[in-house]
Amino acid sequence: MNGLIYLYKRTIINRIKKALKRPVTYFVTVFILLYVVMIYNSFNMMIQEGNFNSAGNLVTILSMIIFFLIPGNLISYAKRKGLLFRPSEVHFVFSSPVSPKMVLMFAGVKSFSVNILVGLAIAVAGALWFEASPLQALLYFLFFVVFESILEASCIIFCYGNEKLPEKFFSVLVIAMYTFMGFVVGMASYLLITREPSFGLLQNFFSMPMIQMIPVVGWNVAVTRLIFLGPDAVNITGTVLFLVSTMLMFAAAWRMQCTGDYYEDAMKFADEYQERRAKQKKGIASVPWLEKHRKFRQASVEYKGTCAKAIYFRQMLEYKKNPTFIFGWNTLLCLGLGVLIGAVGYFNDAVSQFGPAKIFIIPGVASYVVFIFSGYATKWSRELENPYTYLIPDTPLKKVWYATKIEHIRAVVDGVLITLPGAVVFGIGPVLTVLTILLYVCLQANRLYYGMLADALIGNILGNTGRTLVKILFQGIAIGIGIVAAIVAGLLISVEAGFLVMIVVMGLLTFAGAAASSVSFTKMEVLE
Amino acid sequence: MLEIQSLTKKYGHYLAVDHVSFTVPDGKVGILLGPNGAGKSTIIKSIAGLLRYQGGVGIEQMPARTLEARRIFAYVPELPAMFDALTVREHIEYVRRAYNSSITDEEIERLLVRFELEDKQNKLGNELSKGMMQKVSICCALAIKPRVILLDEPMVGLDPAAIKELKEVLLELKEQGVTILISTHMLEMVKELWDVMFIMEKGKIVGIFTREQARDTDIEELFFRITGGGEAQ
Repeated sequence: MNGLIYLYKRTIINRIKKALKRPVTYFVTVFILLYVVMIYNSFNMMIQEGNFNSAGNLVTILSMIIFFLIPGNLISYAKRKGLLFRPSEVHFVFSSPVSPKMVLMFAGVKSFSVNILVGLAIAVAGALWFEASPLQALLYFLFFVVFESILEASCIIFCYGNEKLPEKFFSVLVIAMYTFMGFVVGMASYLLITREPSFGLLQNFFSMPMIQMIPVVGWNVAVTRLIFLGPDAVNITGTVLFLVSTMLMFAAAWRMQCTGDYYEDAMKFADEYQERRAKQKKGIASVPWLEKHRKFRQASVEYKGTCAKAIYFRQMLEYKKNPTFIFGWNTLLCLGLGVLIGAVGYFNDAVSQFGPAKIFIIPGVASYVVFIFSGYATKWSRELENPYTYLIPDTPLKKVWYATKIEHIRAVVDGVLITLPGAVVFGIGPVLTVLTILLYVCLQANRLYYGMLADALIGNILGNTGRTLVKILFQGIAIGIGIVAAIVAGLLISVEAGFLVMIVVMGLLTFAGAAASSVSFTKMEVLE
Repeated sequence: MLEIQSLTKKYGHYLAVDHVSFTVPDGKVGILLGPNGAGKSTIIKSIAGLLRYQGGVGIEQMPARTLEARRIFAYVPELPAMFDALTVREHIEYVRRAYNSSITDEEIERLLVRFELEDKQNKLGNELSKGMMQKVSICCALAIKPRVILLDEPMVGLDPAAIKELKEVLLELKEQGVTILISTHMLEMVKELWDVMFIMEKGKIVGIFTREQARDTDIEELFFRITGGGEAQ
């Protein structure tokens, strides 16, 4: 115990010290403060103007959260994935002379701290916006921090520390929780469809005695109602049942024998999480289930070139072995987006509504998508981690081109998917359609190379957030220049010329970015 | 003493360790050898209490999972993992507190000097190289002042000076009556250390030799005689 307290204390102190030394901390703090002020003001306005400031509304919002949060937590704990252990904890904490239940509480402290913050936020919001008295706010905060935390701690020990109940029990528990959540969503959807959809409908739904009598979740809602709306027979009964069940869970958890069987699952999850985090840091999108079940096909490729060209053919071989070739979630997303643009345009009669400006709808949406989504790392970015990439006897610019060539092919396909449905609906001519697709390809290439350039220029100096902001800034400047050039050409010559000029200008800027970013391919150190 | 009784471990339907039993007596150095996939790491992790298993593991005649047993047991994993926000010195301090170890500040200083970490004391866990992490991991295990110590490939990533130091430390521990079990592929490195050798293959112990039994036979020769490999070498 002494060791765990020391561990927490030193970790917090060292993290704060380290954060204070980094300029990005102050930048992010100011940003968060401004964001909080902005959120506060907009919420304030929204709640006051919408006459939303009643305790009843607060209770409904909290009830909705409770109905998803508690089963959600229980599911993650029953799957033994709700607590996050790091490899360092597996190394130093699991084998130390600390009771495995205490180790669970050590990991749970993170959740309990979140409870304090959430409880505080609810209490403050209740008092500021929902006409709750200070006593009500304080009572709810204490309930949330004390009883919810006891309940959560007991659940953690029950799910992780249980060495008697078979694994099947927990699988059934997970299914039951999902069924319950599905049932609630189904009920709510049924009511919203069959009756006039309104917030009052949800209010009535959660005030039903039947709902408040659902074990644990409903009882939790009953406590919330008792605190904010005053006593009635149903919520008093629910509250008593909640307190009794929490105490019983606590007693059961206290008495339960736990020798540390769960360490195996926790260790496995720690490794998986570490791997996922490493991938996320590199921007690689991964779905663990798919990764585990991924199968590769037999494939071959003929290398029609040497030196840097070999990078392209090797990537092509890897993609050919992939069951979905070069396509993935992003392809589906583009298809969905294309269909959506077409459908929205068709049903809203965009042709007559937008007039000649209709040709800017697809490029506008495409630019937004490229600008907002940070993109995902694919095989090209892994080239930068491969020492052989640097050893290949060829120029960095050629390496950049062949390492990213498939990305451009993919961008063409994605561009076609985004553009075609809308182009058909809006009746856009073939020349403009091709130009729109080219513009999308250009934007994607721009993002890719400017991102690489930002990585090469600032490395880890500003952290991930800083790097993303610099990337957005670079891209924003390039897009801005492209738009200005397009407007000028559009006004002076024609719309098609505007498009063409934008593509040419963006293409030149992108090429300049690619040439500058090729520095990444000169030596591995650039990335550090 | 470290006792393993009929230890069995399955991963789904795959039997990784099949009724393995062996004992490392007090003050002796046991080495666990075997080709890749033989089940060595599974046994080591089971002894360290990180895996579910069937059978029994005893540390100084106490079940391995009791807190009393853990208090006198140290483990050096194959891949060390450091706390990002803790310095080298703080890692050792944490261990001292977690195990309520009697190690003094002077002893910690000596340990750091022996493993050439004295000038790295204030470096954070995420600033260390792989080799340095391994050194810290070994220092933390020694800071426990254990009666039984388990080392999984401890020499991987260490520089020659650290390997030499580790060997000396292990011989000192042996003299103090500490029970040691080392799992390794680096046969050359444990030549002068071992007292009892356990050779594993396909989840089973296929050979047990004491130094007396082996007499002058080379450790590699013994290993390849049992596992049937190494003809090409």
